[in-house]
Amino acid sequence: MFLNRQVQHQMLSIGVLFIAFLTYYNGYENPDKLLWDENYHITSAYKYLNHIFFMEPHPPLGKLIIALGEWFAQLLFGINVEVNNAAIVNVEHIKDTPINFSFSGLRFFPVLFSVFSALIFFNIVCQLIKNHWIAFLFTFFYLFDNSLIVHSRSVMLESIQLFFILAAIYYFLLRLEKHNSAIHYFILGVIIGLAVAVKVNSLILLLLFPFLFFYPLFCRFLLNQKNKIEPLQKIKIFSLIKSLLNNGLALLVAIFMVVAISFYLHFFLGTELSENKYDASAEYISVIKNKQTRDLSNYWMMLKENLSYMSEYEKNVPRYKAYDKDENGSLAFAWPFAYKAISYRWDKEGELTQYLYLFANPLIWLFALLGFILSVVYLLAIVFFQLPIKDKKNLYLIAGFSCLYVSYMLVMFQIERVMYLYHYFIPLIFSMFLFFLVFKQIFLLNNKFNKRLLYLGLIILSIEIYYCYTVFKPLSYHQPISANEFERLQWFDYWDLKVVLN
Amino acid sequence: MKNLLNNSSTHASANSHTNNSKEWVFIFLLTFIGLFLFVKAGNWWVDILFDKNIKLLITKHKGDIIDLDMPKDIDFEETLYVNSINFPQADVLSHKQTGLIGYTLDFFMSLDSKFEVKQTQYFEFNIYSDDGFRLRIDNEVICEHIYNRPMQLSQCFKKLAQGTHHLQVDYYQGYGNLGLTAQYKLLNSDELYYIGENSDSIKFIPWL
Repeated sequence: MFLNRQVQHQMLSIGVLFIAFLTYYNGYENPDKLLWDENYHITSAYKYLNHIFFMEPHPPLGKLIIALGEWFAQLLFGINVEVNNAAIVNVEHIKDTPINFSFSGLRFFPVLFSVFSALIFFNIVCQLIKNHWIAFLFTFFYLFDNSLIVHSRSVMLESIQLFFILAAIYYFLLRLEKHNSAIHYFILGVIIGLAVAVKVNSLILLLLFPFLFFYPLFCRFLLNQKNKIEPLQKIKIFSLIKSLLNNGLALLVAIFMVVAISFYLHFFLGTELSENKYDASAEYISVIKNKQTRDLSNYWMMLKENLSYMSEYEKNVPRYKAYDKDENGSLAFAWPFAYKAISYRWDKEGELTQYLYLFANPLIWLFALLGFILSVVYLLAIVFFQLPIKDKKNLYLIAGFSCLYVSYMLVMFQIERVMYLYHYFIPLIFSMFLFFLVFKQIFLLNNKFNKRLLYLGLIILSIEIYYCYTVFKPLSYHQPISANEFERLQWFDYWDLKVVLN
Repeated sequence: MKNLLNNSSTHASANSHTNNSKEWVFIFLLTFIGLFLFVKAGNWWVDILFDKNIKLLITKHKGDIIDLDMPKDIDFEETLYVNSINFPQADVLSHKQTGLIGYTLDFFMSLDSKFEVKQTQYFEFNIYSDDGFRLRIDNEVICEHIYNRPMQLSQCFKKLAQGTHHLQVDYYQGYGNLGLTAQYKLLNSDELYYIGENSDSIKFIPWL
């Protein structure tokens, strides 16, 4: 082509950002009504803005970023400056927003992070399959997934978390084939720490460390230039353990540092007491009353109480009720099949209804699940049926992402409290990458693949993904539809979409 | 495990014969998915298979409806087109072919259709309704039951001259179950048709 690769890549990056702007950002301030957990996160954000002490089931970074967006909106555009703050900060969650309340500041950073996540996603796929045209088409998996779009266009934590998770994965891939010192693991730890400081389930990223650390060993162990196995005795065990500990420590220190700083900011801002004391100890209350929350000598006491609150809160969250027809939660094993969709809100408009549903793009989720299944089949075939290995890095990444997926899901199976479909976003991303890696394994590793047919297939796939997105778009953008049109969206009975009747 | 320690073997010559087949399998899979999406997500087959012979105006009433003739206090209205007067008994309004319409209580329906009678003959009309209804042809009331009732049959007869006629059915649902089906047949025939379905003796004129 007449444009060099770098220019092509830049143009495709702009294309990704443009599409993400249209699907994620455009009109994000609508609906101007509460949905799902926004009533909790908005309250938390306003508590930060008004320096009210509170404790939270999640680490503070996500809420701080949300509050920052609202602060900018108030400062620069005068948005929500006349809101009665007392009505918001003195409750655990608001039941409704004041008249003329705007969501544009509060939703700004979650949406912005989701737009830039698209760019990181694209670059990750470029790293995985080394073809930016195919990577652009594969980025449709992120750009047109209805569930990611709905959830990201709201005052929620997951889009901010996902941004840092993707950043960590991207950094991991950039460093995979390079020599890594403690500083590189420290940087990885910072990025992982940012994700953990938003939501604790980001700790799954700790598994990136062994996969990054042991990759050189994997390569040496597997084969060398002379097609000989390097004897195990040649591996310097003590040196390896020392390096493992050094680099592991650098990573953990970085994670701890980021999380610690985010909590310090939380204490820094929470200087006023409200009616709710969150079961804080007398000592803690005294520190707040004496305006000593910014004093580092009180830091450990406050941190301990906040972590204890997080733990207690989780224990008191109700369990999944299978018999309850209004239950919005679902079991982890059902998530890959996009069950259960959640109705975030609905509003009547005459004979039509506007819905906002957390609902998957079924084609994307189908291919993502297929990616995971084929990856497992491939790994089993390597181990048990001596399938030839075409590309060791591809094998390693398939094993790595499969391990991440399985580990996360195993943890989810152990959790007793009710969980929701959006808790599957992290393994969904892993399974998307697995699909791309398996695709590469099947088609791209052999130089004799039929380029025209393959690109035709990818274009058909992209069109179908886009088509699915447009079919379910009314449920993602709060667009009015009739009961009949809604009924037609229920392709399978198990989806259990609930129509609002007239 | 031994294989993990061996060099990866290349099978270029074998692969060159199978490359195209993998791509074709991929495209076949996508084509199959595409057909599925086309059938599931498109309403086109409804338009092709079913003529829009009946114009349906649904009026949602504010408050309770007592009988068919009470003044309408309109909340909102909706116009639809269906192929026949066939709304099976249920707790929510659905059409037999086009599916869920989504009304449950306190609404009126006005159904409107024009049709051609090929030959002057006597016709029998069988109307099942829950709750009340009124059948008019050329503005003449043929039969009616204007109050609440469970799904029950009203039967009426009319001689229709050759030519074009205007049929109107008014209906209302109060509360509880609902349903409306309207059929016709030649007086001395056993073959029943839903109003909106063409037969040897009557041809409906589509709205669209």
